[in-house]
Amino acid sequence: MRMFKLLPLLVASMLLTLSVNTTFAADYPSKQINMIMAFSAGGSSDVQARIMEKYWNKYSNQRWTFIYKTGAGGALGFAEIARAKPDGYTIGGLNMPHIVLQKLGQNAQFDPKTSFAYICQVVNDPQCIAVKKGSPFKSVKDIMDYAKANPGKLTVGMSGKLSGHGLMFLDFKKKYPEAKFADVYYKGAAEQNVALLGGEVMMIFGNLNDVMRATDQMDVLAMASETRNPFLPNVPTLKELGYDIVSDIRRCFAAPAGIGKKELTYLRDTFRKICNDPDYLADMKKAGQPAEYMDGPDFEAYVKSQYGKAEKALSDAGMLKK
Amino acid sequence: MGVAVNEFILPSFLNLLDPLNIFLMIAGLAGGIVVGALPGLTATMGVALMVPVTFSMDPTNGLVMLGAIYVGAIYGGANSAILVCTPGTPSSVATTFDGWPLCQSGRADEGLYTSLLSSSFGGIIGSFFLLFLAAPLAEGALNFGASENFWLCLFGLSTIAVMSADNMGKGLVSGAVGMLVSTVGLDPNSGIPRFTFGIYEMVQGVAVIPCMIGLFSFSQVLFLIGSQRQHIAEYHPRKGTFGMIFRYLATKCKVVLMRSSIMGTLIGILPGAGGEIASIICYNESKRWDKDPARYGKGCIEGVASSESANNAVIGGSMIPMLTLGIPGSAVAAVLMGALLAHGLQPGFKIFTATGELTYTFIASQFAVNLLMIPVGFLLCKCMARLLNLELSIVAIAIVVLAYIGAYAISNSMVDLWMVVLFGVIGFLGAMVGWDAGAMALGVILGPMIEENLGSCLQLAQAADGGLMTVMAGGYINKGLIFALILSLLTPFLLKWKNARKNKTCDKGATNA
Amino acid sequence: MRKSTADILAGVSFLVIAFIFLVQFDGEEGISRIFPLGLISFIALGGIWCVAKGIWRRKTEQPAAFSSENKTGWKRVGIIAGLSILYGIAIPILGFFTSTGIFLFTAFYALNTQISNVTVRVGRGLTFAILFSLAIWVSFVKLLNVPTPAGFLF
Repeated sequence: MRMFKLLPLLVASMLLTLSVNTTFAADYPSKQINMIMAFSAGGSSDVQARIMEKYWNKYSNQRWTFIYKTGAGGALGFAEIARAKPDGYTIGGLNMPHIVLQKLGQNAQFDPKTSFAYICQVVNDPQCIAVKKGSPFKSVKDIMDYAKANPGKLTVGMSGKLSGHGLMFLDFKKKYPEAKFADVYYKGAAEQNVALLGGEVMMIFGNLNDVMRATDQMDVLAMASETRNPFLPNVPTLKELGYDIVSDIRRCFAAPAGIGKKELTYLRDTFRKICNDPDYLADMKKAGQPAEYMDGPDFEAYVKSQYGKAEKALSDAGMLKK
Repeated sequence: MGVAVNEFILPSFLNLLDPLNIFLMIAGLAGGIVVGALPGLTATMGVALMVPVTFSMDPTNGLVMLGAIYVGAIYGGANSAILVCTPGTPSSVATTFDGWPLCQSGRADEGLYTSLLSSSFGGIIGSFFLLFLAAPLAEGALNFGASENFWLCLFGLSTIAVMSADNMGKGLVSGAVGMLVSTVGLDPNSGIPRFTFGIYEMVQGVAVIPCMIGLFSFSQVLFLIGSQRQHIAEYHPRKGTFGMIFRYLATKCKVVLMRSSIMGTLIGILPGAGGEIASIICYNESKRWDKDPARYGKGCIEGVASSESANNAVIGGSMIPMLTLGIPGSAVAAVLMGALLAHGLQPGFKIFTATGELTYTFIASQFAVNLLMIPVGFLLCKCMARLLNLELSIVAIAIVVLAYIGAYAISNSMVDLWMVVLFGVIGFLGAMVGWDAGAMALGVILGPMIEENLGSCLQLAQAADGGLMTVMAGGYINKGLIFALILSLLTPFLLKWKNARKNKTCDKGATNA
Repeated sequence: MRKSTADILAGVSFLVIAFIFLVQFDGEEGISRIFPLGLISFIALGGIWCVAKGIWRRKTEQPAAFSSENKTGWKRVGIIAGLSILYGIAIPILGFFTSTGIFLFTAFYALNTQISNVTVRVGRGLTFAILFSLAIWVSFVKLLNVPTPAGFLF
């Protein structure tokens, strides 16, 4: 007899759990989110994402699973994000201007204008002009004067021709053609720093994140950013000095295009909360990561405008891949 | 220095007595040795996998553990190099040259103990340099620019001539094939894809590790299976071998060990050149300066000792520029630097003062880890030697699976997995017609470095007053390296001449008698 | 294999490689041109030299120089190579652990022909496949968090 009394209760409770489950399922996210990293574990991008993960866990009940898909300067990982199912359970980190240059110069298998739904920008790492401590160059003006007086004798170290540094160099060449530099390309920031400190090149275009580690051996003369950076507040911007050059590497997070509106809103909201968390900002500062938040729609507009600029710069230099 | 000793060095050695640190060192070593011994999983991967785990730890504990994994993994690679002729990490390639013949002649235990003791010795020498000479050595490393690196790579490549003296022609062409293979992917100078054979995924290029897994592990599987043997090798462990090897190393191999460890440390300091190059160069130097170079390659203790002490000495060396300048001296050091940054520690000369206690504890842990490695490694290599009692087909099949996992895990790419199969077949078939897999691997490793540095030299030459000549041959380091290169290329001829003279005198002696 | 045959085959293989890369080469400039083209020419020259050496050696070589000390079990090499390739193809379709298990069993069964009793062979093969797959799963996926290729099945 008791069985009959219990049965409806059982059914009711089962229905209840079922309905609770369905409401949970409807609540995004209901499972782990894959985070695709295009650079190897322990790299600068990975370090940033790991700091982000710490605070994601504070604001979300679901964790991230890191998937490292490295190679070809990040292009393979970026393509993996673009190809992923747009269900909100695969997102990843992108780098600017890498995504634009890879599309324009290397036939990359994604299109920065259409393949991604941008969540937000998290880092803006401006290019700096740095010289070795004790160098005769004390200002950007010294450099420009020397380059004008000795055309082709002033060596500039950069990492990669098809990179943010390369773009900045093209910009310089176009706007100040009277100053002729000799461009020397290295594999990465480490090799570039060795070349400067060993006296092989006279100056470098280096990212803030890389040069600030060596400020006891290098002098940073200027920064190619819109405003001064709190990491090195005494370094003037190129704009202040009268050179209209802005160049940087930016990191953002994105989902594949076609992601649902609800999922994208959730991701954008959570990332915004992380980026405004004072503890997060303190951690970023400790790791030497110049944090700068920009929301998704603004970042998309930024990518599109940079795409046009880069296309023009590369086609002027004859580096556009047909 | 005196201040540093009182303020940091003594407390840091005391910090190591913390039971948690001792536990982490032993666990890190054991894990590292296993990861290193598995063909496919390299030291870089072992450390990278554990970096996220350390985020929840105290920075000191985390770094001590990562350092222990690094040391363990580089040593661990020797075990599989000796027992199955498949180097567990790329830095153990040169260990196979003499380790495998030792194993085949039933003396696997001698090889294993030699590698253990020499690794520990090399590691201690490397840590010694790291502790006492970090600053001047880092300054010295800065003098290694594009041209110096170019000549160093060519010097590394010239070891092919010594390595395969009786097969020099094919050796050199194999090296060139390796270099050509390494040009697949993005052009380092222009950033444009090339030699992709119409497959987009090939822009990632032929990565060194899948190529090495193929050339050494997969081809070894085919060779073992084809050999129709029941077991990999006969194995007769004898009592007292450990003591015998210890005495042999302490008396007969002093010079070899010391030279290889110092050279290994110095090569480790250079960014870009890591254990895989150091072990091959040191192996060849030992062979070159030996009274009887013909012993090498036939199961000679000195060969194993030089390669293994060199690759473990690289560890201390590679951390010198990483800690002092923020410039990692090897791929693993790059991962370690990421861990440092994630813990909010900025590399630079400041690191020895501002966060001195942590830095010195880490360096002190390197000494401790290298000493602890002897008992930990001793137990583990006894277990691993049991592998030889397993049936050959089981070992071979298992290696295929491990090789696939290792290749895939590098960058989550099936292309890397197919590279293993491709290079495995190339290595197997090539060996039959006299291709030199060692030379080819050297080409794959050094090819990109040669091309990048040559490119930088040409760009620098546009600005230099004397053009390319001043860039390439200016400075005493360049001249020294060019001289060493010429000497290295002449060695096979000198050896031939020496042998011929020796034979002549022998003949004379015979006729006189 | 006779030494002369080895030389000729090595030479031909070098020439083939040089040719394949030459076809793929689409004129870059500067160092990007010198380096690969230099290597291709060097390999081609090496190939020609090897072939020439082989032909010259054949003239002087005694046919008796044929060494038969190490006979290769080509059939077994073919089996393991073929199964490995099939295994690689199966991974993205069946999933890593399913295909690993099948590969371990099949390879064990095919290579241990010396075990005449089929039941014993199947039994030992299954034990090996299951135990080793499990060991891989525990150590790599659970302990080390190493990524393994995903497929439709586990």
